[in-house]
Parts: sequence; structure tokens; C-alpha cells
Amino acid sequence: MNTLAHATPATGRHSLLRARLLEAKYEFLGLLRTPIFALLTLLFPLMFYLLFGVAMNRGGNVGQYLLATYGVFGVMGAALFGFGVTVAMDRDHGLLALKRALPVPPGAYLMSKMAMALLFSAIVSLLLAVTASTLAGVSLAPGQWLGLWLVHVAGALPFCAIGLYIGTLASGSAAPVVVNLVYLPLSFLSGLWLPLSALPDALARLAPVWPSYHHAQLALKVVGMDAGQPVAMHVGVLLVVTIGFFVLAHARLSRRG
Amino acid sequence: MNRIPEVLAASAIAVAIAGAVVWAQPSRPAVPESAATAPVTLPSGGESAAFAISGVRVFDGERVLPNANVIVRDGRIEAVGAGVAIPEGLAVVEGAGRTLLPGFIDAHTHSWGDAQRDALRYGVTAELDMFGDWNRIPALRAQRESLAATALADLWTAGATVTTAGGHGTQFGIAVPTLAPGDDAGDFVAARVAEGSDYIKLIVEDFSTHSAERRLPTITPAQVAAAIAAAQAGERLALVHVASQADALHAVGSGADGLVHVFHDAAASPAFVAAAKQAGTFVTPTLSVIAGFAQDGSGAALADDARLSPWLEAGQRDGLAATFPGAPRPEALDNALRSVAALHAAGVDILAGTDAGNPGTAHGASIHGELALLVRAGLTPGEALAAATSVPARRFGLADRGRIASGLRADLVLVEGDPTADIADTRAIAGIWKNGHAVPRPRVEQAAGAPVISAGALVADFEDGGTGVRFGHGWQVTTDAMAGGHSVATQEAVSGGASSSRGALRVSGEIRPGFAFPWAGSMFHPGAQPMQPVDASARSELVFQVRGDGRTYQAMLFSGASPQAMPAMQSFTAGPEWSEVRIPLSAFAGADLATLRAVAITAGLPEGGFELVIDQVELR
Repeated sequence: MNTLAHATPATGRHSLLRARLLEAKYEFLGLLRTPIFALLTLLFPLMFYLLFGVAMNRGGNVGQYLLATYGVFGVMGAALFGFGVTVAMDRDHGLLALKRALPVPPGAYLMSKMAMALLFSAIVSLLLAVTASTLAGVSLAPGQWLGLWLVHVAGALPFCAIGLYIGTLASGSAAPVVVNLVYLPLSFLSGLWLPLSALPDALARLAPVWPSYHHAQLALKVVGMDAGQPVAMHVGVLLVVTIGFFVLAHARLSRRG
Repeated sequence: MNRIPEVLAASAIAVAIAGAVVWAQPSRPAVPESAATAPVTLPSGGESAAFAISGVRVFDGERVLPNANVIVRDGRIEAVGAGVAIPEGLAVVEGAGRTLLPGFIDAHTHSWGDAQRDALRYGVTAELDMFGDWNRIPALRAQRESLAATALADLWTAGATVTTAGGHGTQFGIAVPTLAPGDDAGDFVAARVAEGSDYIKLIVEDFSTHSAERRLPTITPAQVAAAIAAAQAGERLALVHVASQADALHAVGSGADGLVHVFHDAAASPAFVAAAKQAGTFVTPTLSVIAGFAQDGSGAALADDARLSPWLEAGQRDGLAATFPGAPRPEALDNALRSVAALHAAGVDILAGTDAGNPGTAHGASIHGELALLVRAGLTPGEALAAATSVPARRFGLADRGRIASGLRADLVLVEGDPTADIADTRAIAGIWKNGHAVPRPRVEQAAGAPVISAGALVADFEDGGTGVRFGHGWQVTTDAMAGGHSVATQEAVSGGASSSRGALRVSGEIRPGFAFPWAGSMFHPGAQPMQPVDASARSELVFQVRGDGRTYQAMLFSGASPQAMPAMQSFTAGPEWSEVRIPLSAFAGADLATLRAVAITAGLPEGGFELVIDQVELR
């Protein structure tokens, strides 16, 4: 045992990086082997956009608004499902307990999941951008396209945290339901499907309660259609939500596994 | 187990979210003030109180001050003028877009029952009664000298009139003194002065202008001359009720101070006009009651005006709906209008009086109809307003009323808009002060839910060259600017409408990016206030004529409990030729016709300019 422990330090750094990469690779392969998850995560927002942003669109600005908000909708889905459901299932299968016994760096498991969520978010945002520019006639400055993409992708992080926390709370079979219970109302109440002005006044006033509202406002700010609140407020809320839920999830995982 | 990190994390999330909610609130577009239907409490300038009206257009009884500050203190007007400084700490009523008027004086009424209360609710702060109970005169005096808060208009009265047994004025079931054919008019008038009559009213009426058969006894020409002389000897104005030009000529020739009707058997002859001018006689035409002889429906139209109807008591409503018996006599109104035009052109003082208390009239509400009739007779809106303020005050010697000047009694009416340009703006009352005290104006209909949409299908025909409407609050430009967008629109009345009508409404503008669902166009509010709900459930179809640039437009119905609710929408296309758009109201999915708030016609996407002309908008 001691011999083994002393033999590895020279290559330790390499093997750790390698372990993380492998972890990510297998996470990716795992997702590819459940194509229904990948397809739905990627296609759901796109389908919505084709319906409301393209088919039922009577002009340019609807396409632009919905590009920003369905992007948020898409990355939320990728992050919440990617974390919430898979973590809960891994817990059910005892995979987390198994991982603790393996010589894998402690954070690799989460890092790989986060990488996948960001990757899916990037693809969702890209798909929407291509559709919006070709079919819905949305035209933005290059800086805006890039900014929107960055906001969309980075905005996945708070939902990764929320998803992780759900994953630590719910069982594998309950997690998809819980995630949907969070995902769909959050999308509607944050003005992702309809502008807030179309909602009853009380709901519109409550919109800042939801992190998705702040993410959507950042995305809308890039295309010049936000409600005019300061960026710092939105970023601040998202940052607190991200850190807060990671802390909560970490505490729960360390207590129960 | 150490749970401190968890508690900290949860608290941080809660604090951040609560902070964001609180922070985000003010930047959401607020409900427009005007959309609130709750009655506004106005500040009082009654005894030991003061307030100011800032930046308001003032019609001072004679002329217009376009932008003045007005200070009201202790029941009186303390200062008025463009340079008047508003003292620190005074409650200020925003005057922009509004006009301040002296309280109206209705120079011919018959004020029983709730008349004084009904009058004040419509901005009539003084009524000049032309026949009524003389026993109340001491109480009326005390009231009109007081500066206390009151819900009643001040009242002057002729008390008993100079009439003969069985003559006009004796038919109301109360015992009145009468002048027998051989009696001395001098003694009779002296008795009226002793009773406290504020002025002496003579009735010269044999009914010949009303009926071919029926005749009433009346006082003789000699008694007319004697009564006028006696009144003036007693330092009272001598006012004469006449219905024919011959009687009017005799009264003027006998030195009458004023005629309290214009005759309606013929248009005024040049001889009469010259005589009245030379004698300095004033005329209170009482066109409202003569319009009742014509049975032209103008009383009912007042009851339908949504700027007036919410404050009509049942008795007022009945009065406006009532008609005189017999066949309509439109020539009576024609004659009267032509007479007023001629008299006014010659410089004879014209006073606004309604003869309220008669069929087709209502105390208070009818002064707004009388003003419009005076304008129809050829007075400018400003002259009509003077006829209801400074002119009666001057002719009746009401020294502290009828004008807005420092030291005078603060009897004031604040209206939206500019009645010196459009006389109908007197109906859009924003506030009334009596003796400096704000007059509460709860709506009569409030307990009964939303008022029923006015009778008559036409919302607007744009025939009079304005953007006015037959009822409701009017057509207003609406754009997405209220929701943070940048689209623009303007509207104007244009000549030449559909089916060769005289006028139409042109709405043009530009749809600009900046809001998800941009819009711009014009909006019609059927209630007295913007977005005030009315019950339109008896209507079935929106019909209007349209001509435009070929774009697709939307007709929208706003309804329901909240003014912010999404409108129900239907699209139509406006081509270069006039065409009729008919949309069944049932097609507006989700619209609640029992609480209709507004009808809008707007352009939406795509971006770019638009122009359309609408005419003959009807809710059938």
C-alpha cells in the first residue's frame, strides 16, 4: 500500500488531469447513450422557437425577444436536467458512494457534469442563433451575437447549482418531476415565453424572485429589450444563487452521499 | 453536525432575491394615474386652509391667462397670475392641460328640492331662481353670505312673480299672490320687495306662441310698465318673461332690465335688436328649454354624455328624458338661435340660463348644454363662458362672484382640456370648489357597477372637424412608449370622410424597434375616465370605415377587471379605397363586454411608417 502510494507522485498531476478528462468523456458518452435526453434538451427550445418565433411571428422584434428568452429556457433545461436528474439517479445507483472509493479527484464528478451542461447550453444557444438569423430574420451586431452566447452559456451555472441541489434531495424517479415542477413555472413566470407585460400585474411584479428572470434580463439587455435594471443586480443575484445552492448541495452530499 | 454554511447560504439567497424584488419594483411601468377610477381628494382652501393650482390655464370670467398660478386661502382667491409664487408647504393641484373657470351662474332656474345640490355637483355654484317659495329667502341670504363648506349652490330668487289670476305661474298647485286686472302693480311689487325678493319677475304669457287654441290670462301692457317702474323704484331689477317678439318689444320699451327668455315666435327683428341694445336690456335666452319645445333630444344627449352621466341622480335623469307635450316645434329653436346671434352681434348682453326644472333639463347638467347651444348660436366659447360667469355677476350685482380675481369668493371649476377652444370641455370636470372648499363628487352610479354604454351606436363620425366623440372620454393616441417602446403616432381630424361625409380621423406614425410587440395608433375610451369600464354587453358588432396604406392593422378591445389586462385582438387590412370593417364582438376571444374599457385601432409589426384614416366608428 505504502509503496504504491509513494510510486505515483511524479505522475500524479498527469493522472489527475487525465482522470478529469476521462470523467468528462464518459459523462459525455453516457449522455450520448441516452439520446432521448440529449435530443429533448437540445430540440425543445428550438421547437418552441420555430413555432412562436418563426411560424407565428409577424415581424422582427418577436424573433429577437424570443431568441434571448428561449436561449435562457434552453440552458435552464440543460442544466436542471443534466444535474438534477442524473445526480439523483447516480445516488440511487450508489454511484456516488462508489466514486468516493475510486482514486478520482473529489471534484471531477461535478466538473464533468458542469462541463456537459455548459456544452449543451452552448449548442442550444448556437442552434437558436442560427435559426433566428436565417428563419426569423433577426439581425444583431457581431458583438451582440457573441455577448448573447456568452450570457446564455454562463447563465447555466446557477441552474447547475439548483439542479445539483434537487439531485441531492430527490430520488431518481422523483427528480424529473421535481425538475419539471421548477422548470416550467419558472420559465413562464420569468417572461421567457411571453413578455411580463402580458402577465397579471402581481405575477409580473414578483418576477425578480426567480433566478431565470435575472438571467433573461441579462440576455435581453444584450439585444436592447430588457426592463432597464442594472446589470450588477442581475449578476449579483445569479452569483448568490449559484454559490448558495452549491453550498447547500455540498452540505447535503457530505452528510448523506 | 454543523449547519452554519447551509443556513448562511439559504439566508444569502433569500436576501438577494428579496433585495432584487424590492429594487426592481419602481422601474416597472406604473399604472397611469388617469387610469385609476377612485375619486381624487382635492385640497381645500376653506377657512384657515389654503392650496394652489399651478401652471393652469385660467378663464377669469372675461379673458384667458394661458399659464397662471392660483392661490386659494380662507375661502377666497388670494392671488392669480403668471408670476404668483406658491408659498412653501402649500398643497398644489397640477394645472397643466387643465382650465380653471369661475363657478358657473345659471341665470334662470326653478330651484326646488335637490336643485342646489344637483347644480353644485356640475360646477354651477350659483343659481338665479325665477319663481319660488319666498319663505326661504332669509335662509338663502344667510347661506350665500357664508364662507362655510356646503354641498349646495347659492341661490337668489324672484320669490313670487308678477302674474295674474289663472295666469302662467299659478298652475303649480301652490297659492301665489296674483295681480287682478284692475290692481295697482306698484303695491304688488312693493309687497314682493318687502318679502325679500332679490329681483322682480314679470310674466307676460298668453300662450299664443305655444298653442293655436289655448289662451292664458296675463298681465296688461300697462301693468308691465307700472311693475317695471315699481321694481326699479324699489332698487330691484325688473325681469320679464316673454314668449313673443311683440311682448318683448313692449317690455324693452318699458325699461325692463332683462328678458329671462328669448321669444321664439320669430327671429329678432332689427327694430327689436336696436331697441334692446339702446335700452341696455340683457337677454337670458334659455335655449335649453326652447330646445325642449323643438324636442330635438338635446336633453337626452346630455344624459348620454359619459362625462356628465355618472353624477346624474334619478330625478335629473328623468328631467333630461322628459319632453313637453304636443308636436315638436323645431322652428322655435331656429328662431331663438337666430335671435341670439343677432342680439349678440349687436352687443346685447347674453346670459346663460337653462330654465332647469322644466322637461328636458336638469339642474347643473343643463348649463353644459346651454353653453354648447350658445356657441351654436354664434358666441365664441369664451363669450359663452362669460355668459355663464362674469356677465350674470355684473348684471345681477353679484360683486364677489363670476370672476377669478384676488379677493373674490373661491367658487371655482377645474376642467380637463380647454373649453375656450372646445366648449364641451366644460363637461370634463376635474374639481369643484365652493367657498374654497373642495366639493366631494362621488359618482351616483358607483354602487350599480359599470355604467351601461350610452344609447346610440355611433362612437364617432368626426363630422365637426374635431377628434370628438358622441360619448366617452374621446380618441387618444396610444403607443408602446407606455411599455418602454419607441413607436410614435399622431392623429388629426381631416376633411373628407367615408361615403362623402365631412370629416374623418387620420392616424399616422412609425413602428420602431425597442419593444417585443410594438404598437401605435388611436384609442377610444367609452367611459368618462380613461379605461373606466362600461357595460357594452348589449352591443354585438364593431363597424367602421377605413382607408390606408395596405398594411394590416389590429382592432383591440380592452376589458376585464384590470386596466393592464391583455386586449383581445382582430386584424384587418386598410387599402387605398374606403372600405367597411365589420367585426362581430364575439370574435374578440376573451373580451368581457360587460366591462369594456377601450377600443383601439393600431398598427403593429412590421416596423416602419403607417397611415390610415378611420371614420364612422360604431359599436352596434
